[in-house]
Amino acid sequence: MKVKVNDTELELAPGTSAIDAVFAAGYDVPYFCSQEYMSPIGACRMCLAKVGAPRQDRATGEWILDEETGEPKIFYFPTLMATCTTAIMEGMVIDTLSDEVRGAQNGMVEFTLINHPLDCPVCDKGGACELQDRAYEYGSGLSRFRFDKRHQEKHHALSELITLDRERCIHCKRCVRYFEEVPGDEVLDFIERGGHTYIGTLGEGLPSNFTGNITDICPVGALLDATSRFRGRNWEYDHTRTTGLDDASGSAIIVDARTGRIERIKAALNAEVNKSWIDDGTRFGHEYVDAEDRIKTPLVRKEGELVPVTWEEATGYVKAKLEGIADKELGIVLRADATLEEGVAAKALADHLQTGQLDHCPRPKASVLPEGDAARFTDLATADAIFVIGDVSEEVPAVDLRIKDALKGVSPPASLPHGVPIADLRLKERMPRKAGLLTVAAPYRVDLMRHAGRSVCYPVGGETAFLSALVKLATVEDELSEEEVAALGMPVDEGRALIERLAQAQNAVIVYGSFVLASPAARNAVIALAKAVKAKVMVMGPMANSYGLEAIGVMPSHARYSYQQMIRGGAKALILSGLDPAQDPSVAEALKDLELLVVHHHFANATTALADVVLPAKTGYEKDGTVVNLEGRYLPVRSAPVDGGQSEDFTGLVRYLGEALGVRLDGRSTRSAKRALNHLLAVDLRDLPDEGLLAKAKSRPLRRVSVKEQEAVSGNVLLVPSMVRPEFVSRNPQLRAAFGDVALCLHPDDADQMKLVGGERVRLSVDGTLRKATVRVSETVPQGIMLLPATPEQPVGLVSADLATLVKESSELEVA
Amino acid sequence: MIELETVKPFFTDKDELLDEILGRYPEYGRRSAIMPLLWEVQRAERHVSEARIEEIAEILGMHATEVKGVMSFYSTYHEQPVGEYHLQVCSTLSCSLAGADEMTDFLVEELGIVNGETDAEGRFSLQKVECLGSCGTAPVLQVNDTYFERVTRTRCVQLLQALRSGELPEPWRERGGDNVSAEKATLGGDDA
Amino acid sequence: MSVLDIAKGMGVTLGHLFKRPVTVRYPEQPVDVKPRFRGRHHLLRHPSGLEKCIGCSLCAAACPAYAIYVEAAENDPDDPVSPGERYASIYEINMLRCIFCGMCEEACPTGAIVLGHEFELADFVYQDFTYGKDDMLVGVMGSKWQRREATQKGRDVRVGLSSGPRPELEGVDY
Repeated sequence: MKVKVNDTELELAPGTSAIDAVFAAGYDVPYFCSQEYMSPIGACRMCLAKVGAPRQDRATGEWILDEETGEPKIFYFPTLMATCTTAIMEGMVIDTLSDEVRGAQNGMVEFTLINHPLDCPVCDKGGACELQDRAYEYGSGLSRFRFDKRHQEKHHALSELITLDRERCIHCKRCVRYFEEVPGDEVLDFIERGGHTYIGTLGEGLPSNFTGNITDICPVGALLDATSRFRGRNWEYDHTRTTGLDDASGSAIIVDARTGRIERIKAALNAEVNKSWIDDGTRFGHEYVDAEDRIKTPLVRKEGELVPVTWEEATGYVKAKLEGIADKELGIVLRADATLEEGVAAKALADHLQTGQLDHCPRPKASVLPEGDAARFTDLATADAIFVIGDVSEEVPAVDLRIKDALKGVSPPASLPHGVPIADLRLKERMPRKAGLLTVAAPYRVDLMRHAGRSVCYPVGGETAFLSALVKLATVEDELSEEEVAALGMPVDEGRALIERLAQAQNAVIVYGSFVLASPAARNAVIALAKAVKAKVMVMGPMANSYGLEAIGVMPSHARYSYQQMIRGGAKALILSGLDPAQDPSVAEALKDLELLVVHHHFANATTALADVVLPAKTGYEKDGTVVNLEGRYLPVRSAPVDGGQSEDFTGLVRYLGEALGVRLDGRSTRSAKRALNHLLAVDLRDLPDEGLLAKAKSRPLRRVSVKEQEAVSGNVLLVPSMVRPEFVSRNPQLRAAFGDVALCLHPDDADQMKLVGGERVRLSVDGTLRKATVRVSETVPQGIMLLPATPEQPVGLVSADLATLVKESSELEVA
Repeated sequence: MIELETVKPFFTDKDELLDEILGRYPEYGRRSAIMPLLWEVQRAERHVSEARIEEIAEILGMHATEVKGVMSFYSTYHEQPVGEYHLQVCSTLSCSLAGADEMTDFLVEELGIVNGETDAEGRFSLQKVECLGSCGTAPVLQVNDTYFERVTRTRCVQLLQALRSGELPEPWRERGGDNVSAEKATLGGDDA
Repeated sequence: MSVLDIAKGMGVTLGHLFKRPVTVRYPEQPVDVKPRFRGRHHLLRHPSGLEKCIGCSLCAAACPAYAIYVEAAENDPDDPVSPGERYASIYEINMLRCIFCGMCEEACPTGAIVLGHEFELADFVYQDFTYGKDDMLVGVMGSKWQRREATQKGRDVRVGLSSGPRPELEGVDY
């Protein structure tokens, strides 16, 4: 459609909003209430413009012409229109520059500021505030309002993480709409009316994994990140756009650091991946970076004590120790959120030392690489049938939000010259959701089930049987045996209906995560199911770069030990990066027998206490490199200016160790690692664009060596994925105050039987490791089983806990 | 929380009423029943407590916050029990210009309660509300469901006397022509 | 050159002998500076005793020499440091960097920072040129060195000028 904005004519698709036409033409109108990916509602009345269009004669269908010029006559709307809720029409004329429009905008700014407190100097939004900017651009700079402003609560804690200043609120309704439209829980609403309106919620806190996003979209300083309150002004922060390494989604984030400290994390826009939303784990999970016990210099054990030394001395010590160790006896293990560059460095080091004992952890027993058609996030958002096995809201929360996009049935908007449309007119408030297209299966009730048309709780630990039964339904005509029906966890008809729905869908997606990955048989079954119903698959790996590290083969080569075996006597020397296996006393005993234990970590922990050499590691916010998210998208990781002392990532470790060994290894620097990766994957990773790069890797993943590992079929504790990493929560009081402690979830009957009540802090030996947690009683948990968040050392799966070791602690939280 | 457990749900033995109300709306518009449900509770209990809000939210499959949002929009619904006579003073523009603020001050002084309060005997409640839609006859004072228009100081005193003696007088109706010139000493006019 | 000329010259000299000298006996005697002289900064307080500074960092933003560093924190409502929610927990000015231009004073929304008249800022250690809140809050006289000398010798701080911070800037309304 042809549209004329001021003096610029342009061609736009029908259905575009007038505000987007204005921006596409390179002009500007102010707005507060519109927001990318949310419904336009015209609440703030800032985007007023003079809008008109030619008219057709009803009878003849011809354009009514202006008698003087002979051109189609423009009929203007009788009043100024809010451009965000106006769709363009053929030949529409939009005027944003006339005095009339300017006057209206000026008036609206003045009106909006009537009740705004103007405490900008103490407001954390100051300097990045939309109202401030718009008041400068469009306001008159003067107010005629000489009366008392509205006074309301200045510091209302909406939750531990978010503060609400009710005086500053300008009633744009972004946060209210956000909760209803994006995570789908209408937990905030306007209370009262007129000038007394305020944002509020009934009940305590905000029950959602995505609450932090409202601080990003608030156009004023009403909703603020409580964890970064007063830490700095917006112009003082160094903003670093990078990729979040908290989960496998590869969500784009902006790390704001000041004087070497991370003060806050905000969501960045990546239309293909996370849009402009991130989960609370990614946003608030950074507190551990500035922990006081951060290791900042290399340490070497001398006469039983760890003594600070230089990197050269530490690596020299390692070199001397390595000389006596035969090739196969050395193991190198990375944490699975290490970058590709670190993976290459580890591989180069392993090759040079001729050890095949290389691994990453947590590495599920089954491959995290999708087989067959891999689904992208956009496939998920446009899918017409989705089958989820697992707890996406905790594993990879970004997937949860994209599934909810699919429920709305609105495909991702086309990009305009100025980027994502500001007002997508297809989106409405309270859209009906097509819950029927979503089926969720998990061993216990998960949050996404509230939004699913059909949900199934299959028996705990029964993934393989459950999926095999479904495969049988999809492929074989035979009736299911009684056992198989039991494994299905739902009536057979419903199972058939699910299969039918998936098979008939144009764009079906099966999403599976750690529960399935815990067993190769279950994974094979889900792949078979996907093939049978011609669905694409999305695999939620346990960590940020599980996909990438497996793809480049940071894994034990043939007939060598895996990580779990290495730490239990399979190696004589170990280099561990970012891991803490010594929490398990039996492993700690085994580690004591090592000839050399090098630990590359950020903090002192049980394993560093046993180490011969401790090397300071960079956190995910300080590294430069590349990760591969669960779609197979290469995403850039950039370093924020954080004071990490002499810490280095694994490429740095390999550089120093290479110097000590007298070799120049691949991956001794990010640059050399990128060169090696180009060779390995045929992808140029230099200067990756912000939105990442989807490229087919040249080399196929290495064949996984099948290490005989017993599949657990029984146990009383199910280790489950969690959005907030328990290894950080349990060691950081700030995080714990915000998110609550690591939770041990129980069924009420079990709790009664074990004489436990909610809120009690307990210690329990789970699979040999002593875990601390707070009891939470919930009906969603199946009877006879306890849920506990998994850690890298204790990956998702069914394990046994010795209930005799259960000890109640006097609650530290209460005392504090 | 204790209250929530002990209070008997309002709609438990009122299935017929519930069906009737919900039956007025199509299934996809179930949430529209929020107003009549709130009204039922309010009529029976003179206010809608948080427990009732949650109960209604559950019936309609909404979040309690949303119900509270709707409820607080209308000044006719109360979260706290109100007194026998609920005095609502319109405080929007027309009434404000015609002296509603002075009327409020007068009532505050007379009754000894401020905006949003109920007196100790549970007799009077005072509330400033948004536009009552009778701008032509400002200032307006609403007592329970009755409008008293063009309230002057004299009329206000008389009204209070009547209310104190326990009767709600018939409202004086003065729509149409401006025939109160003899009494143009409205409260605002007095002071001006 | 005549004797008369010499006498004339000597006369000028003689005349000056009886005039008031233009030199001052600094540092034995204090000096006065011009009213608008810009010297060391002072952080002012409200009459209630609360600090005027709210830690907004606008002075740091305005500073052309990047001499100011501010860290803010939340006031304890029971024991506030400044009015409102926010106060400066750290307020530092590096006097070596400062060019005494007075931009901080202009940027301050509460009139908390004022350039005073003290000019004797010489010291011995680089670190001592970083003035914190304790060194600048109104009531504290003298440079770090002057105060150190005073404690060592057990006498009052001796400052080489007679006036305090610029009086017209105290009690700025906001």
